[in-house]
Amino acid sequence: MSYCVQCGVQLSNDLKACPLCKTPVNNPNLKPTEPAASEHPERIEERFTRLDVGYARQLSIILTMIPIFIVLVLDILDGGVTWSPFVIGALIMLWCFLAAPLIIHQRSPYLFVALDVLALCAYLALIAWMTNGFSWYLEIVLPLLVLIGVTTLLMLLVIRRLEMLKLYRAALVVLLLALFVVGLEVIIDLSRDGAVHLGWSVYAGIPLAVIALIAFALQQNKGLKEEIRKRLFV
Amino acid sequence: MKTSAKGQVPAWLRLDNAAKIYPAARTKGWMPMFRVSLTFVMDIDRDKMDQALKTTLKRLPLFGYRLRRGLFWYYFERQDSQPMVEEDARNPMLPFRLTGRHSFMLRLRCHKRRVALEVFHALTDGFGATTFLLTLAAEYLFLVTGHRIPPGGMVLDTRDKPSQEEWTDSFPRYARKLTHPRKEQTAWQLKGYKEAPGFLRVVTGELPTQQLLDLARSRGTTVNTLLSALLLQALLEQKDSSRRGRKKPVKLSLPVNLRRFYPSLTLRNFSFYVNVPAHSGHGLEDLDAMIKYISHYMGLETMEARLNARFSANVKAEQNPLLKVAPLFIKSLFLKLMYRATGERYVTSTMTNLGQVNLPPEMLPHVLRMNLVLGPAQKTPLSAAVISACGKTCVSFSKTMRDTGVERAFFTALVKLGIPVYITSN
Repeated sequence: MSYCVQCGVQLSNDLKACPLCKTPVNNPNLKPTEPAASEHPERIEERFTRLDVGYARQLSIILTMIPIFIVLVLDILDGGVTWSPFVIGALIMLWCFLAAPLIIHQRSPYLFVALDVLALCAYLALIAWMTNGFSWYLEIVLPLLVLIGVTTLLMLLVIRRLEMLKLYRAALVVLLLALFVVGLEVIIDLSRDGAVHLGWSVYAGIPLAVIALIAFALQQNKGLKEEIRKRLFV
Repeated sequence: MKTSAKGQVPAWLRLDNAAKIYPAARTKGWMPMFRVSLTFVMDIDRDKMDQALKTTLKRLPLFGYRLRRGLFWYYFERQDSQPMVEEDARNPMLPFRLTGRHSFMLRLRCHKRRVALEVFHALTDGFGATTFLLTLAAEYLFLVTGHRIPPGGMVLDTRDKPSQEEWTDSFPRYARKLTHPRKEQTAWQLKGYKEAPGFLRVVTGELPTQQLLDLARSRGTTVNTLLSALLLQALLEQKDSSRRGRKKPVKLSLPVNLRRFYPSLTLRNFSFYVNVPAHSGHGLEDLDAMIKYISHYMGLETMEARLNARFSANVKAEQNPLLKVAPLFIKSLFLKLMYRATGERYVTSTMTNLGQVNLPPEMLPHVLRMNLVLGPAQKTPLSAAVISACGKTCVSFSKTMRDTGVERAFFTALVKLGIPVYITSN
């Protein structure tokens, strides 16, 4: 029989922490081997969904396969595979964009962002391969897509860190944006001239970095925050 | 209404006036429901429970109906099958299938010593569900011990014939011409981090009824008013610590059992509600002031004529000829929008109180406690339910958010007033 030291309520024996204040139960008199008999079953019921996952997967694959098949047949009848890979690639990419999030029961968005970027990379690679133009793909498209993907993932990570203070999160997002702008110019310069001459991105990046620093400083300095509130209140 | 060869039990029923909005308002991941549970002293024998359920359904056939779509309205259809007794789960009150074959509007779930009845709100209200559960429990005890529990109070005699009174819709019967507008001020809402989807956190506090009664009497009030006063204070405290929506009032919805006012024997929905608003800075931090405020407010709002005018407005709305002839899918859309616009925006939280459930004395040695839990609301993240039985009053908070400020303030206030609180949670 334990009581919560903060709330003063008696706690059921199976509780490891007080449900009201999350303080862990620490009762030196209770033997650790003593089994905690819970009134509640262990089983967690799955939510009943109208969308049967297995069925949805099959259906979406079949729905994608039908146009793929038609296009392939038409193309072959036309005399060899010429244009159909563009359509087929686009359909598969579309499936990754739209059907995958419906089927995969994962709430975290990282997987989907990564999947979308990968699908885009693959589709553009297919176009490059079909048009014998791997140079543009490797020089500019792939680095750009990787940059966009990595930046988006990092921003998501920051935005979803809810326990972090809002101003810090905002600062980090803006900072990531500044880095993105600089990275963008580096990639463009490298693909065009083969050397890096940082120009416009600095002008865009510096204000962004300054905004991030201000947000950071604001959160750090309570007095400054109060001062601003004092002067600007309406 | 058409009745079949089975005697007086109708083959189908219209939904009652309060129930009409529920099938329409439900969404993919949510339906309005609640749960009454009863804990025996001994572990439950499933086979006996199955048998008891069969007998009880014969006495209370209403609970075996299923929901179906008509062209214009939903309706209840009688069916001959019987729901299965299921194993309980840690996360109660997930939405379940309502409209298919062999679907029911209730689930009976057992775990160890506890039997729980989860009900779709369109079928019945807390009073009806408790009557069903207690009748079932009495029948089960008869099968286990061999001694029949004498019927009385909410325990019905399973040897009786079902009575038509039990499935009549009492709203239109007692509604009058005078109506009261339904518009209210929107309420401040609780916000916070969500629990995992599909997980309803239930925190139950068990309080000794006698001590609670003594405390309420020493303050010159009732247990119900005392508990609602404490919850309203906890909500106000929560609002004052947040920076949002300062101008909106906190509103606590208190359901009112209309059987108190009208001699109805119905087991379907026959309750209404009063939303008590409270603004911060009106001196309501003082418990005595809050008790006085709530009892006066409720005294005014629960005058028979006023309640009648309010539910008569609903009955009148249902008889609107345009709404009546609209096909079901259009009507559902309309009702869903109505529910979004009015239903939950007017309340911050709900506290339903079934009050003192008097078990027959022969049943008392076999029953440990009873509990009532409200299902999650669509938008409001926290609701409370109170039931008193076997000398214990259980206050259950059901929540879809992780923040624990409200129930902590509520229970610690009780501890400060000298009431011991015993906490359990899933």
